[in-house]
Amino acid sequence: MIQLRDVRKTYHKNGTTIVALDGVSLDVERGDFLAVLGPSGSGKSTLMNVMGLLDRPDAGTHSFLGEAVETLGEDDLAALRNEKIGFVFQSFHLLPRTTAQENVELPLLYSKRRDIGGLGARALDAVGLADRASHHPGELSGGQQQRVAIARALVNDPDLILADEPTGNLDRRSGLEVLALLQQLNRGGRTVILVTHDEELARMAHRLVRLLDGRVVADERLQRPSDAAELLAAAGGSR
Amino acid sequence: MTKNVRLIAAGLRTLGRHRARTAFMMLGTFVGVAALTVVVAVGQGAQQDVLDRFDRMFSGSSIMLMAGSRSHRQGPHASSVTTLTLEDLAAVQARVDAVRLWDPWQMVGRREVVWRDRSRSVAVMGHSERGEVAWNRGAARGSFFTAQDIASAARVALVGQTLARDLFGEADPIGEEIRIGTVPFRVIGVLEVLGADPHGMDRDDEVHVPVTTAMRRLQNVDHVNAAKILVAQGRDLAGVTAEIEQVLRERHALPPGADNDFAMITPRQVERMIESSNRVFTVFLPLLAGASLLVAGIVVANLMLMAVNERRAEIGLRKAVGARATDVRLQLLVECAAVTLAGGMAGVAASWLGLVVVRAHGVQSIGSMPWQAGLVGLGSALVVGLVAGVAPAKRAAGLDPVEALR
Repeated sequence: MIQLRDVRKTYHKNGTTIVALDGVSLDVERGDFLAVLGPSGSGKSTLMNVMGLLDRPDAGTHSFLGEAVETLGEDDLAALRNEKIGFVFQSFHLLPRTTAQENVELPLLYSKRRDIGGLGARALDAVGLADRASHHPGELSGGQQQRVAIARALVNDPDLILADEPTGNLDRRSGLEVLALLQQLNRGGRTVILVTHDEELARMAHRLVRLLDGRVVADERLQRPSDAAELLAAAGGSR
Repeated sequence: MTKNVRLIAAGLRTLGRHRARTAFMMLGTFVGVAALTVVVAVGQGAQQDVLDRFDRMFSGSSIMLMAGSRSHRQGPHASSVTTLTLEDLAAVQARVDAVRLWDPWQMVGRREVVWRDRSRSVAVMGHSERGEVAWNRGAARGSFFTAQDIASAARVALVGQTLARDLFGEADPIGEEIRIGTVPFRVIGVLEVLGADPHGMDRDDEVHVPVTTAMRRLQNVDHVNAAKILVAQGRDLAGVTAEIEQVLRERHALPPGADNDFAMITPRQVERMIESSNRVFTVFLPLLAGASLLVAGIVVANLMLMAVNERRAEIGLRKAVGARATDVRLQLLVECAAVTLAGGMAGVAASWLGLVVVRAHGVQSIGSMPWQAGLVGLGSALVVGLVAGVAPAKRAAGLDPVEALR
């Protein structure tokens, strides 16, 4: 699904040059659940932006769903992001003063599809928040807000879900709920990429890629990933 | 719903979510368009008012003939020119077949008018029995002059309604004896209301007497100041004016090259004068209203630029989930145009409401709603919004989602 070959990306800031990606090669298969683990400054956000088609590498090749990204224009990338990728951000990025359902339906606004009725409600139902459709983000807990954001990522039925530190602003229990949701989506056949610096969260993926100073330093398959739903059930009594 | 319709709807919803900012942005075009329509209404009203009054004086096809050369700039009150006589006017009617009717206008000036123990200083004017037709102003009560009154220089008078009220109070003036200076007159009627003339003089505070009486008994002169000449419908006024000029020059024995010792004014000339004197309403004030629209545009552009900075994360998110640069641009332009258009519509509505209320309270000198000016205002508001939206839309469309979402 994604092929990165010797991808490089450098930033120039205040006269100093920062090498964010220093020759990253990576293959992501359809149906994979990949965790990108690394400390801050390791280049994992840049890698996520590249894989999410939000940023272009300086060098190297990048193919997404068989298409060479270098050959695509900005509008093509926007269309791919709209149809094939769902984003989940650390700080949710929900629009204030806008109902949960309208937030979820935001990607549909830019879709070429015409029959979009009911998709927002269905996505909200999938994350268990059908009864919060008309609530504004300010009226929802952090965990609920992130689940709205996941519903937004799902609404266009994408092939890939990209989650960048999705639990960074959540307490442990809400974080586990989010991870349980991501695992459930992956079991449903969707490719999920989780970017995090949290070893425990990363162990819930099937495959763990460690990043350090812009390089992939480890790439392992986890034989027995931990199950967020189980952990949640175990922690359930304490609340 | 197609995509663009969804985008426009989304832009409008965004406005609804930021009501305070939207209201501020609307304010500029609201004031601009409201000012424009009200100014045009006032201007048109003022112009119509003046034109209406001149229309009563110059109704239909008519010529004002005044003694005195125009180059001397003597007003109609100047009595130093003694060459225009009633015989001249009779000759004009006899020799120019387009002349339908004439009425002299003798300005005696202000005289003391006394009734019992009361007195007032009012303008006294002399007319003939044809004045009723010539000036479209007859007796509201009582009777107008007769040909016999003129022929015999009868001491009869018609009073204006202001004078009737001020001098006679509750009493009925008709049949009462008054004195103009030292000469006694009998009041035979009350004149129809005329209102203020373009110079602001109250045309209802005056006394009319037969022109012959004015000349012989009040002034002791044999000339008149002015006359109104009605011309048959459909006749070319310029041609008729030339004919009258020829008759009068002949009668006054003016050698070729000498200035006329009289002047003629046609309604068309008067209208042109009025229009040019009202230029402040038709050109200058609308320009000012236009300037306020310009300011509104600058305000909208700046507030929208600030809004774009404030909404960086939102715009970044929109781009991340698939908004193209053109989608973002469209949404921003829709927001700006909708704001200024809504402001303009509110301005039109407010000025319409204001004009209706003011006119309902009897202020008819303000014109009715100038819908054309309102439409022009709305169009300008829309253009202002679209132009003001260009810079914010460009900035928003160029935002890098990676930067904006950080």
